[in-house]
Amino acid sequence: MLLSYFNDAFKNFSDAAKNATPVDQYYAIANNPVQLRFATSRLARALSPALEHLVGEHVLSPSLTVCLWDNAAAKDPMPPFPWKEFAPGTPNIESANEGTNPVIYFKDERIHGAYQIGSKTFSMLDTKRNIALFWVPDAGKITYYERSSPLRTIFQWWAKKYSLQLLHAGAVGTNAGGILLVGEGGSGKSTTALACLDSELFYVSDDYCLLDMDSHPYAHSVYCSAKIGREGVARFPYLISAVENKERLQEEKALFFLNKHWPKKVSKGFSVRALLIPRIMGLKRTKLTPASPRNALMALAPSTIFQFPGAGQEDLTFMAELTRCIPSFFLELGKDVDSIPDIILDALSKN
Amino acid sequence: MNKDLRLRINKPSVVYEKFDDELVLINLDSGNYYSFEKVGADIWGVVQNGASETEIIEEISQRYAESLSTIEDVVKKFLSELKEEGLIVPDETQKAESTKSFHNKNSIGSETEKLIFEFPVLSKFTNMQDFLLVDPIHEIDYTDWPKNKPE
Repeated sequence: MLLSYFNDAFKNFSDAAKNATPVDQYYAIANNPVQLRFATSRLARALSPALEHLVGEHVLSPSLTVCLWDNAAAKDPMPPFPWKEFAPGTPNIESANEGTNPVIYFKDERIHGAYQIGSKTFSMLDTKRNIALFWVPDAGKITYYERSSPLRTIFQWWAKKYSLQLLHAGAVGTNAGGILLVGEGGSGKSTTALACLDSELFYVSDDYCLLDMDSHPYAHSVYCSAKIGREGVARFPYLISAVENKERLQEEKALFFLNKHWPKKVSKGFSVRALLIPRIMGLKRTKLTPASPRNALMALAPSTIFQFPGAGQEDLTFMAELTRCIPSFFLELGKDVDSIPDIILDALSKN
Repeated sequence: MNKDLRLRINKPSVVYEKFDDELVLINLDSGNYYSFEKVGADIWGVVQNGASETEIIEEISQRYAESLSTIEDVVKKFLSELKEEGLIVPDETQKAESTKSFHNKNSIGSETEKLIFEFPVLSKFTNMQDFLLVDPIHEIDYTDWPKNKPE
């Protein structure tokens, strides 16, 4: 049933691509070649800047091909959504309670699908053919958070095949190793990551990264974007000229694509040596204090799991393993934001 | 509730990890997450092995130096909280068998020195619900979506 729906939606994309001038772009995501096939250049302009630092060579057999389109390009409307057939309570639907969950998720042994209700984005992955579909009603109305971290739902499903886990975590470090910043939205991950731009630390993410646990934890950058509230922009004056959505800062966080302005500061990844849990404490001086693996998991896991449709025990176990194998600290953020890079560098030198 | 009805962890809605004597649990349905430790973690371990309320009380009283009546009251209250939060549910398919051993390998016999009993505390965190609510991804609007297939 889901495969049949996938094929109908794929035909809708194919018609849309024939109807327009598709744009093919290739990326190396966690060293795996990924093709994005945009039905229109408008869609490519909206969604590709966040991945700009990972642009790769054209390959004949990408590990994932994502087909992206919107109603403007499509000749026919999207096929009606399949959740009528996969009603709440049926075994195939994992979450359909729209009142409490912003995502409608469904899957079978081959296909994953999710509709993000707020951003109106529809994602599907055929794990057998390594083809994914991403549809939005209108490329011109894509939300700033979707532009900041496009396709994260699809990447999360696809990454499992390579034993990678998409984490809700920031990451900064040097070529010798870095730290992950874990915690829910508003805990200080972006502030901490952006405070490091003006230092010898490189930037991997402020919100999402792919973690490989193969031999030692290794964080791969996925997005070169950053988001921060208006007050945050005021704290880092050098960011002001880089804000992408200046005219909408009343209702949106400021959005940046760091590769566009500071390409040398963006790293594709590094081994992870410690977990830092930022906490805004209002102290005079920022400091590190020891945290337990449980503290780290409590900061990392709920906000990761609740953001990714279909995440469950396997994801929690993966994250628990991470917290057990490297040390964790609270990063008690004070008013001296400038001191953050030195504190992180000091932690790296000791761990 | 039938005291001899076995209990089980409410999988797959509930996911959890254990760190020594501490547990982290997430209820995927409600958006809440939890932690507890020591006696609470021991109670969880016995539930994990598929025990009834009676058997859990028996097991905990063997491990801890506390009167049976106190342990009975505390375990009942804790199990009731776990049920209320949807973390455990009665296992309707399994009736307790008087001869079936649910004791895990760490079970401590009466001849061993018993542990100090501390009242278990279920710490509950609801901030992920808040996060979802304040996140822009919560408004339901099907304006742009095609109509569902006719019945």
